[in-house]
Amino acid sequence: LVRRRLAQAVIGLIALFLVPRWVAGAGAAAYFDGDLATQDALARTVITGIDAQEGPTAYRTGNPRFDGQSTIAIHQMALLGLGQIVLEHPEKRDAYLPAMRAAADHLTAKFEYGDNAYAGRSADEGHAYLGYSNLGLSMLRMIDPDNRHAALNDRISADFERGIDASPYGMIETYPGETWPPDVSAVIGSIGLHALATNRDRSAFLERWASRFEPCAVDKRTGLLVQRVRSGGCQAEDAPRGSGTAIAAYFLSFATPELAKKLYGALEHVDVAGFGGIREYPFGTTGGGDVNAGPIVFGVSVGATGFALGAARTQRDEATFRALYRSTSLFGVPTSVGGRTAFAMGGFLGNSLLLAMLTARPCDSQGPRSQGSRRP
Amino acid sequence: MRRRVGWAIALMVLLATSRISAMRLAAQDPISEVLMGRSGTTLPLCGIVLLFRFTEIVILPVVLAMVLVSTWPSRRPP
Repeated sequence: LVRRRLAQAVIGLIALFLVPRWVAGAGAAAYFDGDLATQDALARTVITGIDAQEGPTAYRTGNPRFDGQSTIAIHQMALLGLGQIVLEHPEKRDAYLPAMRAAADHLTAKFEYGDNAYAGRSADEGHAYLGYSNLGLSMLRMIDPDNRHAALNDRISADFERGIDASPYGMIETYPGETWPPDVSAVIGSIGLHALATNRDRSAFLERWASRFEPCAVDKRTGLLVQRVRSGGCQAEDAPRGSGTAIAAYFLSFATPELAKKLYGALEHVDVAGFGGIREYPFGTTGGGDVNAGPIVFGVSVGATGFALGAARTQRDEATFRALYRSTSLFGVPTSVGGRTAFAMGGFLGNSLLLAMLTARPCDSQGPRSQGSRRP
Repeated sequence: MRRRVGWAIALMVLLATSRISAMRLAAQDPISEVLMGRSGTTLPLCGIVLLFRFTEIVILPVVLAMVLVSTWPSRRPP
């Protein structure tokens, strides 16, 4: 009886270690390898959400800043995700282009969002939040060079370049009195993607920017990106954080691959029986969750883990991608609905984010417009 | 034999209920519902879906493995 109980315990432990990681990891290889059917099943869920949006914002909570931010995040990530699939599988261009154009229309709609920077405000006055919109517009430019937002994309990119070049630290404010280095990374990512889309060489500008930004915004001890600095200087106003570093590592894959690689290398991984996560705060420090990090459990944040999925794919780090995907799958609950795949816990926002992250293109495959961007 | 059939049916019901509840949740937008203050039905459904997910992926394989071991024929001394 004792031997039988011992055998049960051993087999139970083996099953606990092997089966969950195998079941939750199903699908990771298909996403990592860029399997079209797998990517397309998730893309169609996001397209359904874009088509279903009524009104200028995706959510109407009564908080204009949150409603604006979430609408920009949803459509920016949708554009990035759909565009990345088209760049990898050009045959999907005609199927995805209407949804991409609709997402860009939603991005540039006149919704109440503090002051509306599209209404004639110059982006070099700050407004780094426009970097997120401009990333989406630059991706649309890669796929559809003559789209109706091309002039706006040019103007925002040029304004950003002027503003960034004028700053001794390569930073502009997101909102008055608020400077967030991860948002500046979105700005730089959008300039890099715009340069790729328009076949312009911006390498000198991007190298100049990295040489000023890195000493100011990257924490020397951990290598992580400081989440917030004092406007006009380098004094940290928040800790170095995993969520900001992971999203910056993804955004900068479009512009400064070397800095993107450094930031990715600084992320602090946690692995429990094959389920991976990224710590929000460096080992030895703690802090609370917020809208960027999401919930934090045992030091691991949902935001950092989700964004690191994209960063892992840009760095071709399959082992980390698989481990992070297992956790995403366990808690996100991928579900097949009418031939589409949706992460049941994610909603429109979560599925758009995951589409962009799961289809992120490796740094070494970023390049000028390819055949996926043929003109109609 | 009847007991095994009973367990097999219970297992299938568990998996089917898990799938159906996940599909119901996927048809909604949990984040939107919570933000709009309509979390009354969505949050409990999120809890149920996660509970089923953990049962299906973590608990069930362990229990099945242990049950299988317990059904191995034991070697008796001659």
